[in-house]
Amino acid sequence: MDDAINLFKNKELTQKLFSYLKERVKKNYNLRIMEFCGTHTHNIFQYGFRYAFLPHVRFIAGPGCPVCVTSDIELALAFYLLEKKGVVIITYGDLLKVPYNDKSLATLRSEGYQVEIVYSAIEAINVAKNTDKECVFLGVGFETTMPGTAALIELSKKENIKNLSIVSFHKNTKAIIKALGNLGELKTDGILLPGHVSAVVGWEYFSEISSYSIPSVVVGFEPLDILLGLNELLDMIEKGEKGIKCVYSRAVTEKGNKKMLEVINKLFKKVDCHWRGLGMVKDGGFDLNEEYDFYNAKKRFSFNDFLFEDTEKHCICGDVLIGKIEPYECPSYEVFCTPETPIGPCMVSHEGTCLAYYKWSRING
Amino acid sequence: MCLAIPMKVVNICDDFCTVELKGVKKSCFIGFLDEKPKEGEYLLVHAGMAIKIINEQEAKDIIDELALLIDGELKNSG
Repeated sequence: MDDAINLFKNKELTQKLFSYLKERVKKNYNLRIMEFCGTHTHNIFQYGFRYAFLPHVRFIAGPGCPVCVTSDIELALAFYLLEKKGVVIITYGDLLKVPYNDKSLATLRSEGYQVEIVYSAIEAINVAKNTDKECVFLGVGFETTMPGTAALIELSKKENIKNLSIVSFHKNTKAIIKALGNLGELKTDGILLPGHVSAVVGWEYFSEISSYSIPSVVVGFEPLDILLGLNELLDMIEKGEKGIKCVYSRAVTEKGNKKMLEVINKLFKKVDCHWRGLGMVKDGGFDLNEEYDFYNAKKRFSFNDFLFEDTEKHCICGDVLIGKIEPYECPSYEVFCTPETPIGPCMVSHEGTCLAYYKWSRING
Repeated sequence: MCLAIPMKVVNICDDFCTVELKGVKKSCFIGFLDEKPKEGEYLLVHAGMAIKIINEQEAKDIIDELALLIDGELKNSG
């Protein structure tokens, strides 16, 4: 089993497939390929693929960075709970430095507010057990992290934890693809679909993409995975196929993880929600079902004096997220907006497109 | 947040197991897998949750198909 998995990192196989594809793309191709997932964006850079197939194949980063699309109003809500309600905020590390209104969870922590970082959602239970204060877990992420939030709630119920609730910032990947498709913003010849969202939900989840006539492939994250995905897309484009294929079959099935889908449907409902830079997206997010109101921070706390100032107009991460522009076309990029002084989340998140460009394109000159 | 890691099951206790990769061991929740894993199997682990038992045969099949493709192309070009 070690060999079967490690082969997807094998240098010799990767080099052979890479050389094959370098020749193949010369056959009259002039393609835009969108990689939906932020980790794919970083890996495509890291493996040296980003510019390797130009001018025939151009990779375009998509909106698949859940931290990047977390909106200012969601951040404001988290800061409000921390500053005005005195809760302990429990979060994945990705969200720590995302700025809103000249603040972040990191700066608030340095001012003495309590922010705890966890690797796994379930660890939030130990945080809650070790304090008398109210604790709120920030449920960030796509469908991949929703089972973790669900497990946290179910285990909290089982252990009768009273001082823990969650606020769901979870986003719906299918809804955003539909929204972009309906807006005519999917200006791409093919899509590399997120491998680990698909491991949870199944590749059939994205079947509606076929209505936009864009061939799509579910892809893993090793070098060979990405090249296999590109090869499959080229096959589909040559044959005029518009559906979905999967080259990550060691991890992804058509129907996904049945238990996880059941628990997601049991605990969550789709809601309209604001995606950074994209505005309100129908069914764009998830919130807890009413029977879980006790664990829903939006129901547990009152927000009568919650004030929100929209600062997103100062950041054009949204145009980057949908592939309208590349980061270097943003006037703030590298000038005012750097990893040390980020203006928007795309420069903060380890899946952020702007951070990927800053990190890898500067290294590559 | 997209990235899950293949990790080997070392031991199992109820809805949790210990997984290991290159000497690093972590606890992992397996309560939402469709079937119970066995020691020695690889799980796709994301933020402390096992989301899939990795299918070794599928991995081998993809590599075999790729080898055929590459060998075929080498013969055609050679």
